[in-house]
Amino acid sequence: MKTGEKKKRKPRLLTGKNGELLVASPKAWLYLLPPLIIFVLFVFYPMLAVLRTAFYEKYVYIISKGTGFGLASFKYVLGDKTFWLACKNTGILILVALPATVILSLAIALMLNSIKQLQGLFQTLFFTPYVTSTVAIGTVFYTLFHSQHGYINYFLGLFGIDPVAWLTDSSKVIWALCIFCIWNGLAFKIVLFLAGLQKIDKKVYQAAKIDCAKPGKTLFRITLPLLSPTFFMVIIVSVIYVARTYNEVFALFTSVNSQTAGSGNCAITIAYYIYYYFFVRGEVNYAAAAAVLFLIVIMSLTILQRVISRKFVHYY
Amino acid sequence: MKIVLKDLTKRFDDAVAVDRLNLTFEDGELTGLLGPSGCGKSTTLYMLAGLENVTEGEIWFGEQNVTAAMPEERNIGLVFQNYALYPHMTVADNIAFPLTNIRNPATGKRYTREEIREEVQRTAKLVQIEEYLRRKPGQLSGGQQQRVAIARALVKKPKVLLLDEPLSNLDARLRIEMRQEIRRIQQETKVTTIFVTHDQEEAMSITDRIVLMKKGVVQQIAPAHEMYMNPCNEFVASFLGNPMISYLSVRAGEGRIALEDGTSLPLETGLSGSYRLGIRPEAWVPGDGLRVTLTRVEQRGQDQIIEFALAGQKIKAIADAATVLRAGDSISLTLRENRCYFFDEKTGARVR
Amino acid sequence: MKIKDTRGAVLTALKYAALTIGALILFFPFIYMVLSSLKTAYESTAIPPIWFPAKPQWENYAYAWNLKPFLLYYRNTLAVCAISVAGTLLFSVLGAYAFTIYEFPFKNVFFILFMLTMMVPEEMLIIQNYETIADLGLLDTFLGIALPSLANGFYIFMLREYFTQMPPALFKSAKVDCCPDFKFLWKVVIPMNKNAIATIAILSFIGQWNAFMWPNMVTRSDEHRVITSGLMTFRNMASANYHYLMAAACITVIPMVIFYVLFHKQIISGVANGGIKG
Repeated sequence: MKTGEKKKRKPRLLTGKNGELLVASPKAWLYLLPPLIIFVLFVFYPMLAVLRTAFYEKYVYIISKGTGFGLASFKYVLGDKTFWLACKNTGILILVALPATVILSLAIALMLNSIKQLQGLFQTLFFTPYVTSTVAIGTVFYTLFHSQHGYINYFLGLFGIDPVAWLTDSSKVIWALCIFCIWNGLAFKIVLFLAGLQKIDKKVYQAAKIDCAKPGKTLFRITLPLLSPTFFMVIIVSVIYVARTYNEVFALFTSVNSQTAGSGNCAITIAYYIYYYFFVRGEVNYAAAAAVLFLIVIMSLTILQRVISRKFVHYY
Repeated sequence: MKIVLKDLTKRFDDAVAVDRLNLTFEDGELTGLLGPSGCGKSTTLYMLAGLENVTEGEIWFGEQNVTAAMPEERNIGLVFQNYALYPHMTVADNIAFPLTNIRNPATGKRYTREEIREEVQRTAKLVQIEEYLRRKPGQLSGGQQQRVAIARALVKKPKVLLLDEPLSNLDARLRIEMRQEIRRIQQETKVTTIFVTHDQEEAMSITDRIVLMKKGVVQQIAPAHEMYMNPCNEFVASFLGNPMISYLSVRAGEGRIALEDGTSLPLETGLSGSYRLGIRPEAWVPGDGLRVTLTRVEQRGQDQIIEFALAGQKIKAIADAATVLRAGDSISLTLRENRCYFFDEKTGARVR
Repeated sequence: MKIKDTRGAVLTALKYAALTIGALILFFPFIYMVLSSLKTAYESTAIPPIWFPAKPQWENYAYAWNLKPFLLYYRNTLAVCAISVAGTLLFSVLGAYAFTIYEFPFKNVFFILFMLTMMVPEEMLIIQNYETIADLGLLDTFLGIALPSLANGFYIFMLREYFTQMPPALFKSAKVDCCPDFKFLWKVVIPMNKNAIATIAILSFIGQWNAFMWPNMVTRSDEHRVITSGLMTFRNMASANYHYLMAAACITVIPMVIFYVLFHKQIISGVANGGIKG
């Protein structure tokens, strides 16, 4: 330690807002720098690099040189019907598959919360899809959706419905994708909703009973509002997760010959679009432009949801 | 280790928490820092520990100016209000912890396992916790955890022992037992000890001297009995003593004191003018002086606290338990002069 | 009173029935996967469905195992997961600790930056990360697959929440006892937060085992291929042979299912307390 220090030393220990002790020392960098380097290298730098690439008209990946600075790539992407198909498919997933998943998982969670025995067993069963790889189960669904040999068409046939060309008919692929995404998305939401429901003090329900509230009223006026912090958190996370759908598409539709998402890319999503233009076609600038647009959409969705949740979330 | 505080000041933005404290703590003394919340006693303690920065002034430990020194350089022991024991370590490991971080002053090298075991054993014996060395803190009672915290603070034989409201988390009976334990341990080790509390009874019962603070300013420094008998101002008089001292506005002169409602008592004060008269509850004794009607009586077993009105003020007194008194009773009382204090009406300073 | 009781009982029975049916439907793909993996080629594609194989065709697994080096894939996936979990733990603990006990310039800015990374989609970053990994010569290596996954702001955030909830007096006490910062991390902070750290290890293990997009992009040869990518290459070779395909899918899924059976309590509670996939 320093001796003979005549001048006043800068304070090295500080007290934080919550009474905690903080050390003002350059040693902090020893701890901060390792993760920071990784983050800079694999998140911040790529973000900026992709942003830059998006503004080139032509980009040669190998030598990292681009020409033609401007909005040409964006123009191309925004004029590309495949891109709009990707947006449409992703949109259907967010606006149709996701709400369906949420309602189903909420219903299941409510039922689980109200039973006394076997809650743990059911929860463990329902959560299994989360720990199994999406592409593995996607392969299973790949066989299930087959037009002739798939069990799903057989099952529909029992009700007199004609077989659906789930994986080959370009108007039907999005529904196959929806079904799979719904199936896949239940696990996470059920667990989170159940956890949120279990955090609600049981006494609140007793009070409602004493106040002669009917079950329906209890559900909508008490249970759901008290669940709202969890509910909005799940929505925020899920919207972003669904917007990034890729593995499901690859598992169901991609074949080795053409790396497209179904014939003519009929099942393409925004994430797959980026992958396709970057990795398969090598047109990096278009992929980058699409990625930047994607980023804007994601960030807007996040901000929008935070604003909405601030209005509707009841904290207690 | 003698501790000297010179003009010690602590400012938080605009507020002054500790205002130019000048104090000396003699070697081997047990001093109580007493005062209400926000008076700056804990802040002072943490400045002594080095966990709080000093805005102005100096702290000297012996011949060394430690004002800018980090806590680890000051060789102190600190006992926190909630003990701050490491829940995942055994009691023995908790007590041993400081020794694993410093060098053995005798050998100049790190402590060996043997040496640590010896020291832990010695300190555990001092605080009488040897049977619990294998347990984890969660398995101990409040009082036992307290002892472990003290042991941990003392194991490195510090020059100064600081305690931050160590007894607040204990129940009433345990508090009385533990404060005696703190006194015993301090006497055995002879370490200079400073002890922060808001409980005046605690401070009075075990300390060599009390430093009473209010809003960052020292009101009085004195041993307990002296501070009780000779308070230097109204605040000090009010703070010590249970039940609290009672006040009346009086006019003194010509061998009498006149109350606001006209009644007067014969009392030779040598003063003339308006003053605030502070009367300790034990100042009232049965006799011919005033006839009062009791408004309230509280039984305490060993005595009774009686309340009556005088010149519109509520007065509390202590009466002997021999005769049971009840609200509405009428009794005669006179004042014992040496438990009455006269304070300046404006400044609160003691005049007589 | 009696009517209410029977109504309650009927309702409960209905709930259990609904849940059981729901569980069966949800679990159906798994059941189908296992059963079909033991069928013959004919049985696996027969319509109307032959639900149960006449004789379990264990050879299917042997075939799949030999067609593609699944043992190698297991090893590779374990290697990548080891790097990923170790790295994630290391960086999350260090990062969280920096925000817990230190004060440094732009501390809040850095924290927000780390949090913002949770909003940036991986799909955008792959474009540049691919080039970076290629430039570092790490294409088709374990490190190349695992490295970008270490930039996960969520775990830093989660650990910092846990760290700052420790009583402040502990650190103050340690300072008075001359304890160096790193020792405090090692001897006090980490042991006291064992559960949170274990949860992070488990969740990132699951996430990395099941990751597909990036590992698939970065792998060129079977030498470093992970199991998800391996399954897809298998499919490219045997897409019409459902029985082999299902065997391969089972091979892919079984290790994680075993892991799940062993640790399901911790996994579910880890996710419920705010864990998010990978």
